[in-house]
Amino acid sequence: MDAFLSSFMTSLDPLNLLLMAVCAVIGVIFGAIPGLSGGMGMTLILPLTFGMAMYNGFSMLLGMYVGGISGSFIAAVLVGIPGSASSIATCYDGYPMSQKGQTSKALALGIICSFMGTFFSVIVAMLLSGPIADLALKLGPWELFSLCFCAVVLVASLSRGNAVKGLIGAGIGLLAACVGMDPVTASLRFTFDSVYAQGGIDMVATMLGIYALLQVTADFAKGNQKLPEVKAKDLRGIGVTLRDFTSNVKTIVVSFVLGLWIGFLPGMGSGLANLVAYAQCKSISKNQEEWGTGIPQGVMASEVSNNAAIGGALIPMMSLGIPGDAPTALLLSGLIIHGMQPGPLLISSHPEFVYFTFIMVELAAIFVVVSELLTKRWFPFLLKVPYHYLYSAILVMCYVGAYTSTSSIFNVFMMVFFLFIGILFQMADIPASPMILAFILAENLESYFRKGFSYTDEGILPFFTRPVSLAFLLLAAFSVFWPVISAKMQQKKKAKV
Amino acid sequence: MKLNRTQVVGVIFLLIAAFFAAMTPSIHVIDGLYEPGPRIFPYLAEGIIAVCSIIMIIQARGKEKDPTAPESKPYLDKAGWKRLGLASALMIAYAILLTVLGFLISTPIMTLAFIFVLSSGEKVNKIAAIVITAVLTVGIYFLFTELFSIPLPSGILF
Amino acid sequence: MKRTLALVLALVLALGLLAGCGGSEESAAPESTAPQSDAPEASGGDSAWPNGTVTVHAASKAGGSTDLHTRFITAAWSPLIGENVVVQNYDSSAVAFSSVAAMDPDGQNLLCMHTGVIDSYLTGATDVNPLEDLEVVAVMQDFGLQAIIASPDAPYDNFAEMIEYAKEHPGELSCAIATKNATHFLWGSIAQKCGVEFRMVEAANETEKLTNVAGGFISLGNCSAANGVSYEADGKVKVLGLMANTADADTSAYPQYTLITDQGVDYTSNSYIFLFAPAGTPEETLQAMNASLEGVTADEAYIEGMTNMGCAPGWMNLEDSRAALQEFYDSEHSVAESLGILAEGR
Repeated sequence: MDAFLSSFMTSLDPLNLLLMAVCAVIGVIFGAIPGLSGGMGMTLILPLTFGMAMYNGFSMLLGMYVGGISGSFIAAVLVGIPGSASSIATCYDGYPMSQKGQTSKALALGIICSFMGTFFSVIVAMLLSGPIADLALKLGPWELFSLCFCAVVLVASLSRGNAVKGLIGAGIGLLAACVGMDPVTASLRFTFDSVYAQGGIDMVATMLGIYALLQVTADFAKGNQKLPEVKAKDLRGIGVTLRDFTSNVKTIVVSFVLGLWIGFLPGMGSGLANLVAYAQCKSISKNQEEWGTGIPQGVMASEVSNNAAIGGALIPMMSLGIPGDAPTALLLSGLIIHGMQPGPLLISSHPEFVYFTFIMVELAAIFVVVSELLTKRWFPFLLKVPYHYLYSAILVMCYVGAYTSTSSIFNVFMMVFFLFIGILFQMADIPASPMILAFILAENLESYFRKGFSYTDEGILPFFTRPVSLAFLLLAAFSVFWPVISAKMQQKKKAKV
Repeated sequence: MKLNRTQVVGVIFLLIAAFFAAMTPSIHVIDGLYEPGPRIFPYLAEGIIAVCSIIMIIQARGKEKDPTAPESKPYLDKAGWKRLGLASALMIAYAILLTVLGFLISTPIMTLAFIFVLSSGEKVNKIAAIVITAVLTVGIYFLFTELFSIPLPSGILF
Repeated sequence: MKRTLALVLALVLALGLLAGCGGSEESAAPESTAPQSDAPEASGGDSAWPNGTVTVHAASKAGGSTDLHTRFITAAWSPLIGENVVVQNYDSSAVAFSSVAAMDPDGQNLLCMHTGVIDSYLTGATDVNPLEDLEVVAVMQDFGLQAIIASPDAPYDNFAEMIEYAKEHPGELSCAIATKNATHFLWGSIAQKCGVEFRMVEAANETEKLTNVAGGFISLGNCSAANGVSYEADGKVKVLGLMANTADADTSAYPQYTLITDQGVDYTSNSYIFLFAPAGTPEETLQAMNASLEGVTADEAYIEGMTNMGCAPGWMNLEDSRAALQEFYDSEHSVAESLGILAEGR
């Protein structure tokens, strides 16, 4: 208890709060602009924190972390382009809401849901780190493979249109992820003797190509170049009512649990969480057809989960010294730089530091939600900028972002390549999320599958004989076949009547 | 044989799958592996794409006659295709210019190009466009190279 | 509309042509005004290096152990040379090697990597030859004490017992390696020297090794001593012994463990941190860089960082660094040969 109180006092230190606030604001801006991200911001300030006192440095890093994930929905809602991978699914309903004139509501939902995701996931992390962390150690490559497999199948089978189209998307994502070195034996694949291709296609480039470049190109081709109209009277007030939340409790809870869980799994974070949560919440909702037309649930599903991944990622970081996602890997190195040894003993040997981290993340979440709600009425003014200036700037940022994420011009060309893939997708009405999901997960899928194979001499059996792994595989099969079975059952019912 | 838009896409993906499938056997597999190796996932991906493309082509047969299906309407009309071609050309051009000429030269050119093309005939104040282009280019340049110390493309010509 | 389009395209083409003929290269760092130092300068005179921000390319992701080593060096080095030193990370070390090898030999771009670069070359994981395509600038600190870990319920409590067990059950114990890289050499050598057979499976980074060994999915692995010890204290793994670069390394921080060399295994690692420059970098630039790095070992933050990570601060002069590189190369080469993982033509 003492440690908790003393950490609390440390976090209320004005300098720490100020540093956190400044970095949170910068993080939100980075997260909001396509081509930049909170993770990039953290990498930039990491060397600065080197020479600073530990708590000061961490206040900055944590502020940037929370800000980055909380800011990415802004561009998704206002211009339909995700600020970063954590808000891809927010575009699906956030932007249509804005186009329907509900910009203020969509923004408010994003702001409040982001807060809810962060705040409650960190409380879970604080209370349950120890027991949950040991779970991480029981998950071998078989369970992790089956989990990822289940996620891809879920999203592919739920895609608008039909599962076949979703699977084509997933196949393309898988194939694209194979370019470069294989994750297990580092053999070169499809690199055409180019050194630049050895690093593989970067996720940021793919995302920018298929969401940002495609949107601008397709809108231009079709002649849709209207920015959503924003009426002054819509901007007043918070924009949402309590009803919006109480009538969607199921979505919020499911999204939260999924985000927490995905953030917890090694190497998977908010980029994945929002896509999976969106697909899952849609599948269990009573109004599936409305998803994608601009309903609050869509925004909520995406934004609760991507922030819940924060708390999820902190669990293995604090209790095992293992990064739950890319930003936590940076936090871990920040720890080591300041002489702390991450690992199972961190909590017992440095409880004040661990509590400080949790408390500071909560404070950052509170700061972000309050400041965003207060300034929300000015966000839509972005839409008053004439279309041709706004989108020209966005396009330039995309090119800069694609280049700087790996310092390679190769990925700029890949971004343009995915623009064309996106055009083909639109022509055939193939949804983009299975592709991007498969692309994100491919490395994990392949490496867990092949490693699981090699760790025992039973080959493929353990995937089916290990109970947790089997459970996820069955869940995947169920999610593919259930719609078919239930449709047949409906037909029989109708025939009887 | 006339193919509707979905079928055309199906054929293209089938060809892509075939192309990569032809290259997969040249992936080097080291000896003594306890696991299936680096060719299995490419084959899996190519297989999924090929099979699903064929199914998609078959499923889309005749859809162009169905007024509720997207295949009954063309993806773009002739003017739309021209616009698509123009926008695509710009995107490709920027990538090439960045490689060859670097950020500081390509960006002002392309930003102006984007502004004029995206304005779709609306009147654009030329002074405003030039000012905005200059501010954007210089702003990004200083932000990245001076403040962040992150390099921007520098071009291969000199 | 049509006219504007035509004008725009014409403008683009015209500018492109003009720029192609007479444009200047825009570089991120301030232009170098010093002459290319091909001609040897008088000794003692100031060489043209450094010329603006120096970029050290760390052959690992941000936050990885090589990255941390790099950052400790660069933070201490920057005030010594009076220039901004920036770290750039890479997801793939092979891309880092190729990128730096292709850069201008002007001393403004360096590669920071551990001895594993030799292993990667020998096995063909990269085509960049550290002896020919790169110039060593300095050998710096060692990579620190490593722990050999096993699952908590393993039927052996130290390294010697494990070897006994492995002899009685050939091929049963699995060990975590990164194929074609340093750990592959590590376990291959241990297997040879002890006359045992391991099942070598892939678990490339520290996190994976720790979690898989703790979960019992892999029998053996290596990790930093600090991680190994803290995981064992929590009952998650068993530390069988410690591993170092020399048989007389200081293990006083971990008195309850012994080096595997003291347990009868004649194996020491060659894990040091190297700084490389592209081949063709002029001799006096290399000398200047090497000399300026000596001061890093006196930097307080660097020393503290090294101590925290369990590594010994270090620096070798240019001559010794080159000798060390050659020595490690020769020793890794013979290991690769005997393990049968030498790539063609190496």
